[in-house]
Amino acid sequence: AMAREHLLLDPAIRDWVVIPMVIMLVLVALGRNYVNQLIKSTPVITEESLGELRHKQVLQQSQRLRMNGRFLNDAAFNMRKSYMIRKKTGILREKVPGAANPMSNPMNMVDMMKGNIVYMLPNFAMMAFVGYFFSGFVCLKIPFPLPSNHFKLMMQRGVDLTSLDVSYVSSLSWYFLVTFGMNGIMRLIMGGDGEFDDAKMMQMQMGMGMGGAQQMGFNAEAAYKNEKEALGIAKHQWVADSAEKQLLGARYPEESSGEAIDLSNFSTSS
Amino acid sequence: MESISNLIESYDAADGKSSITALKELLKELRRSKLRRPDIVFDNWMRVLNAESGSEVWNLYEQICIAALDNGDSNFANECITILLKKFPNSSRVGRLVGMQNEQCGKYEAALEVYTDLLKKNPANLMVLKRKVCVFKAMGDTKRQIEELNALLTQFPSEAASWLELGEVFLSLSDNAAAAHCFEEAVLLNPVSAAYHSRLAEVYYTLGGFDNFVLARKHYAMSLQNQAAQHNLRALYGVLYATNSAAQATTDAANLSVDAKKSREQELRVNTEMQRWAKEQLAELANPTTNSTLELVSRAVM
Repeated sequence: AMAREHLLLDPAIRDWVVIPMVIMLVLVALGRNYVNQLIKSTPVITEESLGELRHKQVLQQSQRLRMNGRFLNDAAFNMRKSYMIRKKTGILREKVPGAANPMSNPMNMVDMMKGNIVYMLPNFAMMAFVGYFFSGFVCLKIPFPLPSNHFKLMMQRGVDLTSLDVSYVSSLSWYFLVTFGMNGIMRLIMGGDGEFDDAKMMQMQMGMGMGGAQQMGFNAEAAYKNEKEALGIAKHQWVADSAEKQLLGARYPEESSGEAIDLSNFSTSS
Repeated sequence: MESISNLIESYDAADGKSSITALKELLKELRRSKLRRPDIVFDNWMRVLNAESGSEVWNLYEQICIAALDNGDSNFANECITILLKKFPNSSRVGRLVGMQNEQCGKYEAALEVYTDLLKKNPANLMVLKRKVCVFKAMGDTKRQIEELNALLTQFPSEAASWLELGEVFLSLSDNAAAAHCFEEAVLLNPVSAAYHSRLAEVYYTLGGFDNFVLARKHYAMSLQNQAAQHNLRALYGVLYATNSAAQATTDAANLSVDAKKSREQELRVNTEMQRWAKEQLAELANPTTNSTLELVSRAVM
């Protein structure tokens, strides 16, 4: 019968499988972090990378203009907008390089390969280790019920019981769970230093493996084009009037139909 | 983590009897907030140096070196630099200290050489670029100072401090329009800063003319929006002056289109109200029963 009752798992599983796996994965991730730092080559500052820096700064400037332009008066905003996108001499109309072909930069490739190897090797090794030593038994129970029984093949590899609830999973599933959660744990331990996002790396790996497509470098040309269009349609609404309205509250004078201002009552003494 | 002003207050209150842990934390916060207090550093560096460990020691050496330069003690700074050079022989950070020491002795050409060398290795070194600007400022060479600032800002347009510096340079040369441009950039970078809005408003006010007076008033209003009137007397007085001058400048309204005339009249109406409001605010703040004069003055100078 479909077991709706709880299975009582041997506490030895918790002591010798669940916890050691977590410890092992955390230690490996830490070690990987330090190895990365050791073998990372210092970034070389080239003319090309300086140019790229400048393009990124220009884009930031334009974005800032769109975001914060409402704090400046119309003339100032329009002047800057024109500086960015006017015909022929606007900054965003400059000819800039398109996506940099990463294959052409050997240092980049070597760096990527180093990163990949450091990442893939321990993963494979650990997966094999877990699959070999920790197979054939139920490791733990997931607290939420999974919708269908099809997950059984994936989550309960090695445990061939058709009547077993899908929530009970094998150690390999626990391995994957911890690996994907490693980013968060690392950020806690390393204190925000973790630029190493395992889940993202895995996605990148799979993307590369499947499509064989190279990674795009920073595509200045496309970014400039997008920014130019966005700035072109940006509307400007100076918030200074709303600031005065907020300060004066109900006393803010309404637009009236042309009655003459009586300046004789306006006191110019302070 | 206590704020730096609290820490300094408690240091002053302890009057020479602060504990070593308190001193360590004080110096660390000074480093973090980049506040220059050579007096504090100089009085206490020995005790803190003995107590400090690990990589913080080198940060402390840098801090002591800069304090020595601030105090004019070039020899002591030299000793610190020698120690740092032994530990970090090729560091650009120590190189910057070497340049600063040259500046302090008045050897500006030598300092420039040091900085040019450092920039060859890393042309995007912001700290060294700023030091070059400082050298020209110390030499009084405004032309080159402006050139250097322009080069810096072309490469790093989001450097608010540099925009402010350039603005001040233009003001010293009485180029108010250019200064206004610089402070506008600063506002773009920091739109919620009351001080930046006030500064921009002051430049508009200096430029003069009805439209600029109205601009000034509006920026003062934005400044007051970000920092309430009782803490922002500068902007409150600014509103008063700007509204005054705007009202008196209505004489140059001769040949305007109908629309422009209408908007001008609306501005004048807002003008009147703003002036009334500012006077009320000031009267309330100066009311002796609710605010003592001492409190008002101390708020004004804070």
